[in-house]
Amino acid sequence: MIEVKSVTKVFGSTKAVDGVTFTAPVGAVTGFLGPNGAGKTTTLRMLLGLSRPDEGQALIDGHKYDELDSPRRSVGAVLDSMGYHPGRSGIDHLRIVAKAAGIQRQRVGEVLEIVELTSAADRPVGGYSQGMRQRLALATALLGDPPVLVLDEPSNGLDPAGMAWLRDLIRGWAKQGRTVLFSSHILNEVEMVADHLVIINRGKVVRETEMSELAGADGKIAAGRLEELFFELTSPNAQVRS
Amino acid sequence: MRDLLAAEYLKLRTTKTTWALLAATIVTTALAVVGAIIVASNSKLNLESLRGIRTVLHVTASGGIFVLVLGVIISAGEYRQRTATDTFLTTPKRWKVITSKLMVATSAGVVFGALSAGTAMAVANHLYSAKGYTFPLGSAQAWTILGGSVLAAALFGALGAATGSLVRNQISAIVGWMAFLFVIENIILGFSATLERWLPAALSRSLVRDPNADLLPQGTAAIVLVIYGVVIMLTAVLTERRRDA
Repeated sequence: MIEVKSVTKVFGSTKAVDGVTFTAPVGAVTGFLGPNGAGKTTTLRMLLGLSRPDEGQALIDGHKYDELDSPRRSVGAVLDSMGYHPGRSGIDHLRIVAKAAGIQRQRVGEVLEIVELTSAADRPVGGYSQGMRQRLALATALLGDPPVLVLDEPSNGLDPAGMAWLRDLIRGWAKQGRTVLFSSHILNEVEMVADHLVIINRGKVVRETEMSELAGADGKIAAGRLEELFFELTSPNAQVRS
Repeated sequence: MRDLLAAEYLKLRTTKTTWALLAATIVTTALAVVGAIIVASNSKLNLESLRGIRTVLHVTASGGIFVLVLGVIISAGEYRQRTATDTFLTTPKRWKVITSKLMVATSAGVVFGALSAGTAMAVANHLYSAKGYTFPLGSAQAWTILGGSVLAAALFGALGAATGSLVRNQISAIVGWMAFLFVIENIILGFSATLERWLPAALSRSLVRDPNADLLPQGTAAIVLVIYGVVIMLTAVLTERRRDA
């Protein structure tokens, strides 16, 4: 389970994240939704120990990230800020992470199979497409077979087939009982995979809800319902409700 | 920590820059020794004399600058290639990352230094016999200088890694060091030779017993360089506690 408790981050005179509180439950996919610059990435970076909150704390199964015994076995993460050495092969990148995290070498081959990157594994990452890099990032996140996955805009660079494939993966992880938190600004995508929804705007959580609560009397979410709610909550003159 | 060190070695081995810098170090050393022997024999210096040996072998540390660059790349390269995020996700305790990089850069320096020393000896041995001299393989002086050059390379690797962790910007760290070693130290030398003896380029020359300078003893020079490395590293560790990745 992921618990974000009153987390605040100030950059200069801007409150990028302002008292954000939400929970991502076990065995469910939590969609973390918000316009560009709403504070999604900053929140996730604080959760992952890459950035320090000025106030509040973000916990993964009750622990701060830097207090986890074996972070890679506890949390898998995909972030936009991840890069690769262009001259290094995909497989070497995975071997380095596996080595540093004390993960068995054979797991590298397994995650390459999962993300369907085995045939390109020996090539330098510099020649990878955006989609292949994203698959490599997912493979890295899966190395430790973690119970918690944190994905920042994971579908970036994926083609429609890749996006469908990723949706199946994400749903599958939640079915296996993992906690999945993923950020996106693509409403469709969130609507298709999320069970739980957190909407953030200008650094504040403006709605936390179960997807099922958006459904009408027929039990289905009407077309455009999420979009309507999103614009209602994130338009420049939206009222912040807490 | 053992896993972390192994991972850092793997990073080093899978980077072409490492091998390019190693080649540059060895070629520079070989050429420097050839040049030193030509200059020494042109000036009618007895190559077998103590001064002759020091003149020829002190240039073995010329490749040290490449080890310094390697050290900077080991640390700051993670920000340039944006691999730092993955590194810190695996090892959130940043002092461990900084320390392991320093250790890897230091040992890379030992390897680079040892290969340079071997090259210097082979080249000197060959040219000595070509000029009718015998290279004094049994001379303690020669070994002291070669040992000093290995130590200089190791310590320059450490300085590079520590600076790379502190500065994070690879180009700034490398340019900063070049400016310091080749320009600022020379300016300071103009003002005060007594002060300049305590600065890195002069300390490196002390370690290889440069015959043309008024230098500190080898042991003192090594200790002072170690202190510089530790101070820069501790500053990096303390700064990192308050920095975002």
